[in-house]
Amino acid sequence: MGDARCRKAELTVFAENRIYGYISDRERFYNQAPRGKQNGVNSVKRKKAMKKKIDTMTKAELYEEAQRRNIAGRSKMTKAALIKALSDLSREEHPTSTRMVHKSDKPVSPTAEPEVKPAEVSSTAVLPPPHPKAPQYLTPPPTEVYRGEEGPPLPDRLPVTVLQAMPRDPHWIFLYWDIADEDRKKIRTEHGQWVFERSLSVLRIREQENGEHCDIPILLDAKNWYLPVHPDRVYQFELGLMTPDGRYISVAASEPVRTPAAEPSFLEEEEWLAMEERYRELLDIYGEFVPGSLPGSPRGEQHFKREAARMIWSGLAPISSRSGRPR
Amino acid sequence: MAHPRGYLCLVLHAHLPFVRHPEHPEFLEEDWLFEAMIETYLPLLAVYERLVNDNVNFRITMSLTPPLCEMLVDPLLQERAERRLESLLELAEKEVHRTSRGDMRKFHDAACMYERKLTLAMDLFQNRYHRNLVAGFRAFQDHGVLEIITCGATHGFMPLIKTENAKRAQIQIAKTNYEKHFGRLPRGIWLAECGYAPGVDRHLADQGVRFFFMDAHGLLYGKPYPRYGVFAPVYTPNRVAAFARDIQSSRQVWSREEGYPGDFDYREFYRDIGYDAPYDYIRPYLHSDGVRRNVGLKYHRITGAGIDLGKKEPYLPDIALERAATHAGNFMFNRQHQCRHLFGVFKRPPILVAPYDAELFGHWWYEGPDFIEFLCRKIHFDQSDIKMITPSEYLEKNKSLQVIEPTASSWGDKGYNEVWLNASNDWIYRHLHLAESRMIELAQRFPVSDGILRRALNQAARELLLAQSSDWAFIMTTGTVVSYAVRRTREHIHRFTRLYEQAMARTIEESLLNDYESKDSIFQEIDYTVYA
Repeated sequence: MGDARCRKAELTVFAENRIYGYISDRERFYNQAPRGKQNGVNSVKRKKAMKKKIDTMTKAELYEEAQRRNIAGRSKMTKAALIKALSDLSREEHPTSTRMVHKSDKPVSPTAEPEVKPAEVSSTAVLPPPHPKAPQYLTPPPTEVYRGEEGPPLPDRLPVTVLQAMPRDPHWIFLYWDIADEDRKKIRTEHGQWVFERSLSVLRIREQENGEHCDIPILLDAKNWYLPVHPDRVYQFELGLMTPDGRYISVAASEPVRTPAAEPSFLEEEEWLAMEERYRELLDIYGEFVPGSLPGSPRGEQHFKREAARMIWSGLAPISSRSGRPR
Repeated sequence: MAHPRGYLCLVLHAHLPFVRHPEHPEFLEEDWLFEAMIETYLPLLAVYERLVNDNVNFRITMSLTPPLCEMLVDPLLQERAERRLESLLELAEKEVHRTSRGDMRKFHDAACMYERKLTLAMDLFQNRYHRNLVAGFRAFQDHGVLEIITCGATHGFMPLIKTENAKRAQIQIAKTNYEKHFGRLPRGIWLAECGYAPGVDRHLADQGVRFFFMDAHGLLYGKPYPRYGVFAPVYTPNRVAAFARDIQSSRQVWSREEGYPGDFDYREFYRDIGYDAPYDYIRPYLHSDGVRRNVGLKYHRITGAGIDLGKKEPYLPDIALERAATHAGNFMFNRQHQCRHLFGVFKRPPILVAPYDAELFGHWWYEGPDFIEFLCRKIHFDQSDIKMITPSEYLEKNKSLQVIEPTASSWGDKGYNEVWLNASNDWIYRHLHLAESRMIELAQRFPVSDGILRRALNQAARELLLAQSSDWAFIMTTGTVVSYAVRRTREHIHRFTRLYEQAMARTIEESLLNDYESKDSIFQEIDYTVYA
């Protein structure tokens, strides 16, 4: 198991998190940040360019910029105050874009250590690399876009602490979570006022069969996540915090979920309810004989079943079940 | 036909979400129901009637979902449907005259066909079934040619429902509703979107449901491997029979490229006189907002692949009918071959399960009901290899089945849950699941109740069920009328939450409750304690 690797990645990401971890309104970043790839060097350059630009602006230009950025009290500001307000604002904004590594197709670590990317955490024994047909993002686009447009608004936050895992298909699991206010308070009282801000939030994934686990760093305020997984296995998830001194605090746990199977099973045992033996005939017609493996030997049986499955499935493309409803 | 080589189980899944808006004099989405009634359900009933009159021995399995049954017997919707049918018939009569001369002459045959068919539909609706189509279907079930099965109470997608109680409620409420409409218990069920997950079968078994349907890979990826593939049902661990769909028969009808409905002689769906006719002439038959929309009279045929809508040629009903007969013959021929081959393999007759959305026939594929009629007649008169069968009849004959644990699956795009769980709709589940837990909390807190509290609790259950319709998540994925689906989801969750809060505080606003009851009036017989 790549436990050591896993931990190393955790620590690196953890370090990264400490740099930007104090920013409280993460959800805003999540919603506003651009989609493109960004790294620390670029953002520093841009910040400098911005600073320079602000310094060379006339007051009218500065005012216009302030208006565009909706800075409160701009009409009463002096030129110096406008420069300060604008440069403060740009300083505040740039960490935002570097946090958005999750959205770009290849996550880039803002700590400029490209060899330890958060994505590598998921390539351990517990989790497979993303499925080739999988979408290019790990977290969904914000769902809040619907808010206020249609129907009565629904509350942003659930009044309960919950972590729910739902298989999307054999290769992906969707998780959503929320933490009730009182539970948040309890954890703060127990582990310190800033425990959420200073710790790394992780999803701890346990595979039931071998008991191994792995931690995936996540954005706590994203409140949902898509994770690549293996077909036909039972997983159990935990939402947790990794504190700076290395303690793990469990916040919520999910029920175990089984991912769907993605191919025929080759289990040997069969159970019948009063069904007569007709299997041999099926094999005679479906199966092609493989020299050296007589029917009856385990390998031969296996092969015939595989062949039978292949023939039934040959040429099978996904058939859309719907030709268009609803109208 | 004592010893057929195989069986054909034709399944038509008829479903529409509960769309009933008494608060508006007319409502766009209610058209889904009226169109389906006029183009699919009434023509199907006409087909069954002709077949029975001609002593054709046919078998069709139909799922009529609880929301559909509830809408079909609703007096308000029946009245609106009748009004729609009347106005369409009036338009069709005018069209016979408008197309009788000059340039329009080439559409005259089609116009006469519409007038004839709509007159028949009107006669069936008013005089034969007294506006109640459920009674019509029920009569054919009692006659023995139709097997009607039920569906989750509001077409809830089972794999994404969180709690066992809420899954059980979807099945149990469906069962009660079926009994109300059909006077007996349902033997089988269509799981919404063929959505199966291990454990769902336990709820079916608990409610006495004997069989359900799934997509092919649900069975083929099951454990252990099914010996007869999809050509025989199996028992799930809880001893419910699972029938899986046959891939070849599905593809021949569903596929856009190979499928019959795309034939160039068939009617073009997207060219409608709602857009083509002079505005002042068509205006009275549009909605009161006056926006041009489909009215249901279409005069063009598909003509060719990728042909511009403006260049389509006139529809010729006689030729299209002949195509439907040819396609029915082809479908039967392929099934005969399939059965003969499989009989050779298995030395026992296979069953080919061919499930389709009922609304495909008539609404999308206009000639679909004719196809079904030709198919039933040909199978009865022209051959002896295959026999039509219902699942109940099959299980009567074949009592011993292999035991398989099927895998979680659906018949949606890609075969699993993605159509109902993706970036466009994953936000709904946190709200739906919370409402489930709260409904269970209510049912456990108030094991007995009466008066206004009982009404509020029953209404809360209705709101939860309506929010669970898989249709809303489906619409969000397809992107057609997203705002309506979002609104319905939020409205029902919102109404549920208000009722929950008021019931918990024991301060129920009667005016609010009256309002919700009049709008979301589904399942008058509901008993919220099924959630306990």
